[in-house]
Amino acid sequence: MAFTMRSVKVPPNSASLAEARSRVIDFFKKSCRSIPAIMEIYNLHDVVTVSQLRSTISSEIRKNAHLSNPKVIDMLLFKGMEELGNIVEHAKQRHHIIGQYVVGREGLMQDASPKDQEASEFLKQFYTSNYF
Amino acid sequence: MASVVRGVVKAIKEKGFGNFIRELREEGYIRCLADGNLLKTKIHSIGATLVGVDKFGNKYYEKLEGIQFGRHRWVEYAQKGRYNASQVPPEWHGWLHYITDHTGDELLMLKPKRYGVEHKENFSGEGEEFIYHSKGHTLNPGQRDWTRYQSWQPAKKE
Amino acid sequence: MGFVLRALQRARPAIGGRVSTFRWITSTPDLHKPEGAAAAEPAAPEPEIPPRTPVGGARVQFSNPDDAIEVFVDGYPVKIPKGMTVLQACEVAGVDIPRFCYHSRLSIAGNCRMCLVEVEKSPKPVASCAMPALPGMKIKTNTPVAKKAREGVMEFLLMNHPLDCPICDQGGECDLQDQSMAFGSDRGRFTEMKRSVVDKNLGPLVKTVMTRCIQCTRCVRFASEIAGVQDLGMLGRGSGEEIGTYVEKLMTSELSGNVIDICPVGALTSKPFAFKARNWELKGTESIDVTDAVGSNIRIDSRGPEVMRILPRLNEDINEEWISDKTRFCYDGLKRQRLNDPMIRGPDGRFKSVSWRDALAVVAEVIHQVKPDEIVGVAGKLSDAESMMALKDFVNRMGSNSVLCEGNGPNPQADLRSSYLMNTSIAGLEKADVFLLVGTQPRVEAPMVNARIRKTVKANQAKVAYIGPPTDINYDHQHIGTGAETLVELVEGRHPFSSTLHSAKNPVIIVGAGIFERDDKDAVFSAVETIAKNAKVVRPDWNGLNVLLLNAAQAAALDLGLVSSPNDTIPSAKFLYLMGADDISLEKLPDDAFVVYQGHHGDKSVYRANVILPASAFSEKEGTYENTEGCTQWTVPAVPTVGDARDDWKIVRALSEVAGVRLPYDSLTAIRARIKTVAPNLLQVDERELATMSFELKPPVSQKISSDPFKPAIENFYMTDSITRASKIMAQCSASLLKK
Repeated sequence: MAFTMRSVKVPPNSASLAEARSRVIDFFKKSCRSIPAIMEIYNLHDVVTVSQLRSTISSEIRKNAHLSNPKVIDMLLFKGMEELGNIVEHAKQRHHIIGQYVVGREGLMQDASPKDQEASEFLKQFYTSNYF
Repeated sequence: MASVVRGVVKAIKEKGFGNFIRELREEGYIRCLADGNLLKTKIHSIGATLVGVDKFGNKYYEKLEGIQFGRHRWVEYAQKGRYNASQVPPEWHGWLHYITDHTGDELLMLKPKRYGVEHKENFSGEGEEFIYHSKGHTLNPGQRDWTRYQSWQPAKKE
Repeated sequence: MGFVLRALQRARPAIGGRVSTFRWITSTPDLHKPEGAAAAEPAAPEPEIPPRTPVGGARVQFSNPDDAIEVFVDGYPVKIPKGMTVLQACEVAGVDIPRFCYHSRLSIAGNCRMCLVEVEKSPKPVASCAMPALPGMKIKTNTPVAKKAREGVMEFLLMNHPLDCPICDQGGECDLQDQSMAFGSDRGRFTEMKRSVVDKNLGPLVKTVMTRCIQCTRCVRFASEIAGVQDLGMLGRGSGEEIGTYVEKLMTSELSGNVIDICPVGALTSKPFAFKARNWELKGTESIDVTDAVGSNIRIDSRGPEVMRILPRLNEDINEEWISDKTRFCYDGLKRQRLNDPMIRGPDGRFKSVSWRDALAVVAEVIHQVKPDEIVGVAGKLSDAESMMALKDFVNRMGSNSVLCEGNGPNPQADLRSSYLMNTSIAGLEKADVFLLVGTQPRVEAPMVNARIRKTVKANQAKVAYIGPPTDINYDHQHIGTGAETLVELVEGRHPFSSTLHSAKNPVIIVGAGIFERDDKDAVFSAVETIAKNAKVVRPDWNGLNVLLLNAAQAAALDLGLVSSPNDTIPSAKFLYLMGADDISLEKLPDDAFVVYQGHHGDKSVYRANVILPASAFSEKEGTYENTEGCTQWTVPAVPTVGDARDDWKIVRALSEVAGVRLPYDSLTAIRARIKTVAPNLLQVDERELATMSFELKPPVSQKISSDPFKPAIENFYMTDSITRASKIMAQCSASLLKK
């Protein structure tokens, strides 16, 4: 898997937005295909399901849905490729995957609630950590 | 051949037929019909001296005459189905591999009482729960708890 | 070699300045013939020696200028007062003399011989710690004779010292290790067997490895001079000499932990700390102790998120360089029974962990359902000034005026600062010549204050009279009564001790804070004040009327005006906010009252709580504490908070916002600005704000003194607050040392 990943190259530029889009979709498919292997090597079967990981990947991609510059998309795609390669090559440890993709970046802290909109900066920070 | 038949008849007479069949199975005589390796060991063992039996039940044989040098010590594993070399405990390993002439029973006395760990065979390929996982591994059941404080637990009752 | 250098630079306060001036010494041919080298020396031109800075901040004070004498240390002249020893003179001159048995706070023994120096016209090297400096003495600390002498002494000391350093807890902070590197020989000639000594059992705190002992007798002198227990002594002679308790017994002193610090080798080490960490792995944080009202200066040594040990820090005004055992060994309580998640008690009576958002929402909802008068806030004995300020502001904004601090008793008098502080100051006690202890047992309430009184009694033959329940006081004293009627006799001058008190130059009266809990406390205090007035205890130049507080939070709470009476407020409370208050009696609390417990330990009050808000302990937060003499000090966070806990004042601040009465401060600076408007003295860190004394301002007292005898304020010295009650070491101590 690792070596096949390494052979996948991101061409330097996407000519158009449509091309970038199709590349992103290719990337998504590729990463979805590697999910079973990832679950296997990081022993994730009892913490997460395939569909959850898939939706995490898609939400990570959707975070940048507003981008329209193909160059920027290419750059992010490259970073995504690199990340995927690292994960598949077992360059990370189990808790990295759990922390970053299972629990989520915000999930370690308490979920933001809509009521917090009018809360002061102090209170928002108070909910997240003791140190600010 | 006749002596073998006589022995069988005598054994059936002594133990009864059921016990005889069970013993045959336990000693691997039935299995060795399909397992040539085991059969060869069994044939090999005829006329050899039993030097010792370790705590797992593996039998250690030696035969000095009529056998090529370097093949005169061998083991018949206690497990007849799934046997492998890692089932030999360390105290017998030396004897079996001609490292020493002391038998395992003699070397057992050298084993440290306080911190000597029981020998465990290699369970690779037998499933995750049998495999040894290092201390920090997720699947190690005795994973270390790195919490440096002990939290208060609400008591059962008030 | 690099390791040793680093170990030396790490320099504990005790050896602090000394190692900065160490010199490398090698065995050179001239060392082997010191006489010849000494003879050759004068011929060489004297090099110009620049003056050095005194060692460890050593200063000289001349009470009488005529007493000054001049001595020459390595050719550099210093002026010192008469009576100083050669070693002290060298310290003033900035030369650090190696020593083992000499300790500036103990008597001089002169038995280790490490401090040998050469004095001109003296036939032999002299032990500088025991030799008084004489006018015109020419002291040479760096000559071949001195070096050779030290090397020889070191060789003898190491003769019977085991090569334990790799497994010794003192390793890395060991005087013998450091000094043998700096002054010892590079090889030994000893080939015989080393002697071994049976280890002594000194109790659950001090671990002994007596084979390592070099017979400096510092611990013996400490026990008999400072701790006031005659438990340790020297047995045997020659190579059979050993330190021991004469009969097999434990060392029963509340200061016993200090022998660990003064032991120059690893013979006495900390038992709870044994093999837990190496001293170079530890991060030191200079903080304040909160287990009693003295506010001893401590250094919290931590490794990662864990407090590994607590050591004293030098503060001449408060704890000198000692701390009590409770201070030193309570730290394992910081790791046990901790509250780490906000919890709500469900309808089934079980606690369940919730998020901060939910916990605060529940509290805010309930607090609006009760009448403002029924809201009561109680600060605990470990609370810092910031959180008490926040609590008071919060409760006031909710419309209630009932905020109190536990331990201050009914109707605390906070109008005059002098009526609840130790006005003489702890260091000032040393000037006193007569003590009257009223209902206080300083030995268990404040061991550092007790050590001062003992020091004064030893030095000035001060007289001590004690009124209160029978107790163990480790210096000469008269037990003149058990209750308030003795006070009445003193007021009327009928008591024989009155004359002693009246004829005293600097009399001191110390009233225990246990009196606060008595119903007739106003009468008792007015009686004490009358005695003070009659005996001229309070004069413009001397204020000897003291209150010895029990808890770290008390003084600041009274300064900030947390002065409601628990007797009035608790029975009518419907919403009780406990900020770490575990010792307040909740028996009279109505059953339907809603109790919020904010604190760091699951202790007594948690079991009555409806909501638990986890807070940080003193080792984890920055807070202001005022000690019993009115000296404001800060704690410094040494380790991170556990679990999901938050700082106390932040919790109150966040709750106030959720409850809709947002407090106007978002940072420690802002809350301190608020404190400044209430009690500006709390911002004068490390300074004592003097309290003005005036009897006339007090309203007349109509209470009658009851005849109940005074009760001991502290039942168990080792377990007084939530941290010490959670500590296993403290439990062991109270099991083995308080055994009758």
